[in-house]
Amino acid sequence: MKNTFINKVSTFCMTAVLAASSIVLPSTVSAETVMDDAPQVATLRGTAPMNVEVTPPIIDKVENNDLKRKRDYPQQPPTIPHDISKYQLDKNFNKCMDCHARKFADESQAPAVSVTHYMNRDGEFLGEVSPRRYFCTQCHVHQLESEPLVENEFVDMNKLIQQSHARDKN
Amino acid sequence: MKLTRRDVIKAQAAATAATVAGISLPASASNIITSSKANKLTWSKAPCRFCGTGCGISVATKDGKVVATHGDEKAPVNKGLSCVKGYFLSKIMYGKDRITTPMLRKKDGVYNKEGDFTPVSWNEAFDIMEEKFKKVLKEKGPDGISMFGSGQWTVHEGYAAVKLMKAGFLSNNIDPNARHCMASAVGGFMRTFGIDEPMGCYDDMEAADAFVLWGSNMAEMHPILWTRIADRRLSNPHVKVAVLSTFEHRSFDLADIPAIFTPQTDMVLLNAIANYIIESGSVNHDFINKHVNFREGVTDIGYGLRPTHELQKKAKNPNSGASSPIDLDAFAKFVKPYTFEYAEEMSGVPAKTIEKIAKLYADPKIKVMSLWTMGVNQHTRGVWTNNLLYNIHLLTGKISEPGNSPFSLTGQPSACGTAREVGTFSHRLPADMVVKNPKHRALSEKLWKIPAGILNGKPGSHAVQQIRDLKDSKINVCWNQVNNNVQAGANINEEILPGYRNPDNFIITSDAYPTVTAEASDLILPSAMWVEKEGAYGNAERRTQTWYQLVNAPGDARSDLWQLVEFSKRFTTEEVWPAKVLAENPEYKGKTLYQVLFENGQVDKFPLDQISPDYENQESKDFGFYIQKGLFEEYASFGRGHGHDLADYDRYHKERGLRWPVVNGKETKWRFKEGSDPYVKEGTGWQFYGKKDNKAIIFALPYEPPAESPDEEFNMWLSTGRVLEHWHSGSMTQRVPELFKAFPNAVCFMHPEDAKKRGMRRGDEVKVISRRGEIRTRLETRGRNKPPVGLVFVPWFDASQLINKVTLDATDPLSKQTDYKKCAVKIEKV
Amino acid sequence: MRTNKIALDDVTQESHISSFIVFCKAEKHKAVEAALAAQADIEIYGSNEKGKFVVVTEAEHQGIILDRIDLISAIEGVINTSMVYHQVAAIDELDDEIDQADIDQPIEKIYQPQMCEAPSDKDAASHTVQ
Repeated sequence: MKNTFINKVSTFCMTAVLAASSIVLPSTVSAETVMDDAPQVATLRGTAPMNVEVTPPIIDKVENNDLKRKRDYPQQPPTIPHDISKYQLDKNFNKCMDCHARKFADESQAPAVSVTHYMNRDGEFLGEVSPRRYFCTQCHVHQLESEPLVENEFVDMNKLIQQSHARDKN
Repeated sequence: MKLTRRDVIKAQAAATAATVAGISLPASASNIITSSKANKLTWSKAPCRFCGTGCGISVATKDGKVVATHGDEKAPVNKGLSCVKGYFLSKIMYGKDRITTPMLRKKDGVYNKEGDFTPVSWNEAFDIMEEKFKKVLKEKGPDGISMFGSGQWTVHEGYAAVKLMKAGFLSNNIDPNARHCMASAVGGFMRTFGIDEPMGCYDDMEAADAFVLWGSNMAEMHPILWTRIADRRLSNPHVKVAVLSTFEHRSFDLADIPAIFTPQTDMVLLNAIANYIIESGSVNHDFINKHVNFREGVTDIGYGLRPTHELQKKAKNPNSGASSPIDLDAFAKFVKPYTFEYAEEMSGVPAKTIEKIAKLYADPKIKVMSLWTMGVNQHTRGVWTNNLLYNIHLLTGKISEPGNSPFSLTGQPSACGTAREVGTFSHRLPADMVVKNPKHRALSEKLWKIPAGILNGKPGSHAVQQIRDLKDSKINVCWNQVNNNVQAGANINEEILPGYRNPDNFIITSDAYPTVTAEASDLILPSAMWVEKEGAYGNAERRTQTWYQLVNAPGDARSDLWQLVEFSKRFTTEEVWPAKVLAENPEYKGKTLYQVLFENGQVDKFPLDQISPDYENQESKDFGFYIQKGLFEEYASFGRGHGHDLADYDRYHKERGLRWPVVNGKETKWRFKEGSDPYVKEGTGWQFYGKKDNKAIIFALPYEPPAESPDEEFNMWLSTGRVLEHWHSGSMTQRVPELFKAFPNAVCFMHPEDAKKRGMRRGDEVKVISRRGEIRTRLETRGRNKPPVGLVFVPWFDASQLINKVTLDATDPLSKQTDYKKCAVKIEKV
Repeated sequence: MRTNKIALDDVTQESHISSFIVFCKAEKHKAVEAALAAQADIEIYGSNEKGKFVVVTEAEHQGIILDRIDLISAIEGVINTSMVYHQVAAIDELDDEIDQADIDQPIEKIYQPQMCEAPSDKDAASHTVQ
């Protein structure tokens, strides 16, 4: 298996036509300004031209201040305001429930998981958190200290309702 | 009415509980809350925009904006749940950099490939497109143009695109990005069963006693299906979960039987299990005698590279899917060398672990569900590996019954519904038909009401071939919709960018956001997305789901459907169809493609008064008829009565989806099985009716090595993939602050020992280098993915770290699907 | 065990209002209804014949609410009691009168629901798709 790699050790460069290829190109493919310049529209690329790979941002720290964050609508799963990197969360143990289970919420003062988490697929209530909700991180995610690259212009319902009231008054 | 704050709080408390309990309160208890009109939200249903699971989503709108989204309690798929991406769907449309106007590269007021993106009108955009299409069609004919679409197209869009390309321009150069995603699964289905898509359904997850994940990380990629498996496993102690992968990931958190195997050796493991089933006397002879044929496939079939590539030249039977009949004895002999000891030696998985997994299949009392996606499909022997998976289910007869289910999961929301069923692949026509088959073409011509004999019988260029053809100037115009191939395609430096920037070529990209693909293009068209248009998706369990247009798209953004149909007005039959055909069929003369394709008495059959009065429908109002219904009904005529039956379009607006075939108004949960599939005759038990003799095929296929493996210099395996928080190339999810902050940049996951050996630490800037290219990223030795020594994992969602500059464009030679899971790299500290 | 800094505010001036869903055997519906009605600090807001009740209760301390859950759960025939909604309000504001204009304010301006995830406000909103 070890000798099955490609016979050509090409350097990375967009002008490098596959050496193994004998195709004669009808037109010269050359590096050109469009790809060498900073992107004109591709926001998430920053200022890095398509042809260049630049130094990536550092791995930011996890926000760990335990401050509740604003939610845009009541159904939005709250993001996790603390570091969970050392938490065990597998079929044997769920560390999150140490504090967030209803029965411990009083002592830990952590927000108790909502009642929907005690419902099974058929909407019936269980004594414990439903196994379908067992893996918290499918909906609840931590947040790094990174700044978003693109602003999001989502308008929450409160603002729209206020605007609607304002319109009614005029 | 005098109310205190206490009354209001209590009323709200009661109302909330009543909603949860499904109880309606007396009016006196609830009218406090509903008394205000201004507080009212409109709730509608829509399927999720992301993966192939197809969760139902409740979408709240107010004043023309989406204000909330959450899992739909009534949706059978997810019953009120949704993963973190689904909960944040409400924000995907509101990134500040939405494209709201067409933009053309211009210099001195005219189009110039080296020019700057300049806003233009739709008219000017279509003018230049028309000019380019017509020039290329004239010089090179239909083979000179191409379209690259998506499993994220709605059913209507995919259907309109196929029709425009194949019936209008007579070009089969149309392929979806599902080629990168599901082509091997399709190949596997067609080879084994002769009909595409899973026989089982998600209900299997509540019935199975064992789940085996083959290379799939469902915990992150199909989180809601994973909740169903977690529910089953944690509620029923007898249930076992086996997770096989080339690296440890979140799905291992639920694994009873974890197994890390050397890349590509899944084939060895599968053959070893087949061997064990035979040697332990666990073959279901009654089942295989009645329902199964055996065949041996040809081997040494190459790696889907350019024909001039050394590896391709070395192959004895490049791209061959041929096979010859054998029997069970010959098959038994074929798999005999695949002992547990040999499998352990090849795969690194302990023989005892392999035995445990094999027993899940061999024991007739255990109902077992196999699940796989990209690990098996993005594989240079992807079709074979799909075949091998069906082998072990067929040998034991564990198929098409609740809980016994080989289940090919889907990556995209409509990879099944659009890319596969509608026939947007370069070799396909709607309803599993293919362009090569003259009967299929004749039927399509009839249903499309176009002249007989006009369709092109030569399969077009598939995804990877289109890219090569662009670089080689064989294709000169390419229109992208709903995909980001400059980020998603393999070997960006050597194949993709040279093709896009080839001065001979004109590249058009329709998208909602300015992706790197848009950046590399010449013309960008602004697209409406998700609930900004009416649409339909088909998920992995054959469930077709529709939604209404809930809000308007910003600025001049228009749906891909509108773009395709409107553009067809620019061409007359004389410009695109052979003169001979028109001479024989004079009634088509002097007509536009719009007239022959869409104003054909079928697509325009349903008047505007059939549109829901509660919702906007921009395209229909523009064209003057209910276009989504017309397209859907015409498309459905391909499959009705042929095992692909769809219900009436209107019914889908009322249902949380239906699983096809929908016969006599009833959906089908398990295909091929008597009693649950209306196509199976009484007294037969099973009928694999995709094959003429109603028998499925067990294939004898060996292990063959991958296209590229680590060596002394490039000494690590590279696997790429996704993360939970980001969908594909991140163009939507990277614009949602909560999702961005959860996983802002790609990293290189590596085993701490490998890092130590290289003198590297977590957070270091490193280069991931292959023979084709390199990226710079940060090293991660902790976190959710724990690769074994010798393998690194880099996700591909990050536009600022294009990992596909590094990957190899080797494909499965049969399915033409790229292997993104294995190539050789080295890691260097910067 | 972790403690949450923010929640450890002065709690003496608060009142806790909670709603529960009480789930009982359908055939015990009448008996359970009577038992619930007999409790002075529990109000029944609605029920259905399948044995589900919506009840609301108010207490000055969360512990009392939890005690009441135990109490309800002990009623014969009750299978399960689940807290759905829990709100903490300043006790001296609860008797304030609210005029219609205030009610027309966004719900969340009047009070802050304490739920991780409300199931949906469908009952309070117009249904366009059924």
